[in-house]
Amino acid sequence: MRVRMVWIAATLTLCASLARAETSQTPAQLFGRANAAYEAGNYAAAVDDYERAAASGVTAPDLFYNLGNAYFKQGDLGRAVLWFERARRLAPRDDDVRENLDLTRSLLRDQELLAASPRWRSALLAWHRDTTTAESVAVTSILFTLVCALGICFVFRDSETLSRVYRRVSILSPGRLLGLDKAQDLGLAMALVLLLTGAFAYSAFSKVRAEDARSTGVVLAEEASVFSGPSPNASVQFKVHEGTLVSVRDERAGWLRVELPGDLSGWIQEPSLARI
Amino acid sequence: MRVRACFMAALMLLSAPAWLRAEDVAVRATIEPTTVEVGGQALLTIVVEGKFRRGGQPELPPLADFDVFESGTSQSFQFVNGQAHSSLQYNYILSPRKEGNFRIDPIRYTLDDKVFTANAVTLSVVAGSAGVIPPAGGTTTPNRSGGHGTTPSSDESIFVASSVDRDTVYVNQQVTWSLGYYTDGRVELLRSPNYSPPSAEGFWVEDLPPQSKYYRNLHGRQYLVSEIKRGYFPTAPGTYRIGEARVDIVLDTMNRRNAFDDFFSRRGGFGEPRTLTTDPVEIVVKPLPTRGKPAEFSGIVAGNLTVSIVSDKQVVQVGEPINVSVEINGVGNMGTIAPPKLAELPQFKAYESGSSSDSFKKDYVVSGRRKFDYVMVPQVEGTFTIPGVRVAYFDPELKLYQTAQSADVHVEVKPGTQEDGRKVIYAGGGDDFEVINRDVRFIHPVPAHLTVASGHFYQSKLFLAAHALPLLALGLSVMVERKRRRLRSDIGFARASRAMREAEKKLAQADRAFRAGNAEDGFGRVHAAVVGYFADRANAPTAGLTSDDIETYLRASGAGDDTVASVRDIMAACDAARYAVGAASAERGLQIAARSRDVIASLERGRR
Repeated sequence: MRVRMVWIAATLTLCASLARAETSQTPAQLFGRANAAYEAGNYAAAVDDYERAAASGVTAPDLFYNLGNAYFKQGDLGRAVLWFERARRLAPRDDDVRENLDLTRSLLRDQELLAASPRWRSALLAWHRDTTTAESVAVTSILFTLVCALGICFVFRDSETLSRVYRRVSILSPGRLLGLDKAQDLGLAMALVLLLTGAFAYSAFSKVRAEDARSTGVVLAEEASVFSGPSPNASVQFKVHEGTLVSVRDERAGWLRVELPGDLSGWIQEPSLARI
Repeated sequence: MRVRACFMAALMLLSAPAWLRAEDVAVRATIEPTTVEVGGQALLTIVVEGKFRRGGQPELPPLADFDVFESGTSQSFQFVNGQAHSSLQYNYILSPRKEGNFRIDPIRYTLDDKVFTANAVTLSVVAGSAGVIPPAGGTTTPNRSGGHGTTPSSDESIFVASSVDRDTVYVNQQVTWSLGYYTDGRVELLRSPNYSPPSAEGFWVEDLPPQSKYYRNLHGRQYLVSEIKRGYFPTAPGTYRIGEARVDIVLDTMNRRNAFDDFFSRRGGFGEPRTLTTDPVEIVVKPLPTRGKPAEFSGIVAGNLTVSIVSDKQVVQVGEPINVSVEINGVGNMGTIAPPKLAELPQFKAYESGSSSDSFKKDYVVSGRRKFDYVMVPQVEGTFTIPGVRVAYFDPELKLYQTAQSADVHVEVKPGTQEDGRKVIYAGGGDDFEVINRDVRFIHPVPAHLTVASGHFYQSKLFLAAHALPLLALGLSVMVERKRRRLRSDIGFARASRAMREAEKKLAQADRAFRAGNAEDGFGRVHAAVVGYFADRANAPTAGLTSDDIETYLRASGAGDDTVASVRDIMAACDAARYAVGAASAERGLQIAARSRDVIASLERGRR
């Protein structure tokens, strides 16, 4: 009898330790297991493990990207867009992320709400789109320092040392090619860098603000009604479908006020939407 | 009827390669066999291959010594990396009228205003037994199995007569129309007869080679009959008419030759033109019976129809395309068969990728083969069965609807191993390629380092504060440069700025002189330091600056009496030491120098 009790106790201890081992997997282990499940075609298991790894606080674009893939394979386009967008924020120049996001978007129902900006505008704003918040902030800082340095150069423009350096460096200066003198050339360079600084500062500021406010959301429900007010008794203005991006402008007791292209706005219930 | 004719024409156009583009085209011609007997058959094949958009029509060179019959076309095309590779084949049956070696000149083929030429081919024609069936027992009977139409009753030396094998048929059932040219050899022709086929509105027409010849005894005369045949396929129910055929001949009234010389090989001379015509033939076309018509019946009228389906692969990976071909063979007009529908399988995406057709005319009966190609792309792994294709048709001989069915095709689909999981293949049917399998790119491996979310560097106050440094540096540089400029341009400011520094320097020299025991020199340096300081301050020349001047300057500057008194004492001590022998002591000098420092420092503090 005693031997049996000991056996039971040992078995229970073993099970508990195994369970602990199961639950105490590191994010990297979860990530690897999810990848294996994905490759085996078990997308539900892959989603589960990816989600757990993401819930542990890991901010890896590869993890978010894979999670988007797993949702895509399950046909959940809303969550696929959500995670691809999150991956894109961290790795905006990753071709795979961009490609999969484009593919997912092409399958969405609300195609008319996908604000297709003109090509020239996309090209012009590529620097904004293809940089992370940290990169935008860093570039802004560097440009700001450069503006100050150019300002110092401008102040000491008559010094012998600076004149000597200027003669060597200014061969490539467009201002000099235009026939501007040293002061004008430095002033032009300063103005251009200042302009760039302003652009990047605006880009960085808008990104930081968007991150802080989490003002972009993705519709997760296959179809979600957008009401005229934060109440189910309010009239339905229009309907949106999974994967559609919205701007979140306000929040009230489980309701979010959203805006969409074309001056569309209304209130949507929170479970139907996730913020990026 | 007109609508049906338009539909048939549209089908023809659809089956024609109108989507191709003239580019890198090769045209070649072959003939098989290269030696035939007179009246025999040689198959002339013209193959057009390459990348082109719109098919043309071969222009055959003059073939006066041959009877030429079209024997169908076939086409195939595929897309490789977005390029259309097409193959068009035109078949002609040549039936030589006389022996000899013949060279068929290069055949011209026009595509998008460009002319391509095929190679020339040669054909040897030898005399043979084919052609005329010798009379047996003095009487020859027509070599045909009865029919309907004109019964030859003329006692002319030369005449034509037409007949059909049946005058009541179903829609799309073949009617074989025959034209017999009768001659008893008593008349001579100056040139080959010119034959105009009958009009045949409402029919799909096929020439039926070869021309046959036989003897027939009519009204006690022996006639040589040259007979050609055509197949007529009515396109809609109703009563239709195969019009009159014309044969224009020119009789040689001056000369007579052997009655049994080849009818189509006469040449030259003047004579009596004559037109021989046949009587029109009425054909009653019955609609297809409604009773027993299968739901999937799509209008095929044929006999002995078979259907088969084959795939080029039985084991594939997800996303790997499978080429599936459906082939339909049967007796009848197979050129108008529409593509059968493959069963819709959600695990596959299916696309039509081309079609081809061949027609055969054995024993004056039209039969054919129609092949439809599909590309099927499996979307998921597993073992699947592509159900066999069912084709319902009406057999006009049996007067029954029949159904032909192919066997099933089994395909095993394995998981894809491609890195990006995406495969692009190209399907025919249009100018644009189509991405068939759209899938997300493959997952990424686990990165070497996984970072846990934490605050960003740009959110720290230190980072924000650091941006003040470049601004401070800029401000400082502005101040420095401003001072430098003033020092350069304002002598008074420059002297005043360095007044204390200069005085300190001289006082230090005085200290060294006092410590070295050279009191007189030391006092002289103290004096120079004090006078120089005030001269720099007042931007006045050092020479000639007296104690009174300094006092005046001090009073004007608002200095106190103590300061004025101290300066006066310093100046007096210096003068005494310099001019009174033995009055200078080193200790006293150090005290005076220290006092001078204090006074100058006090004045500098007051100035600020």
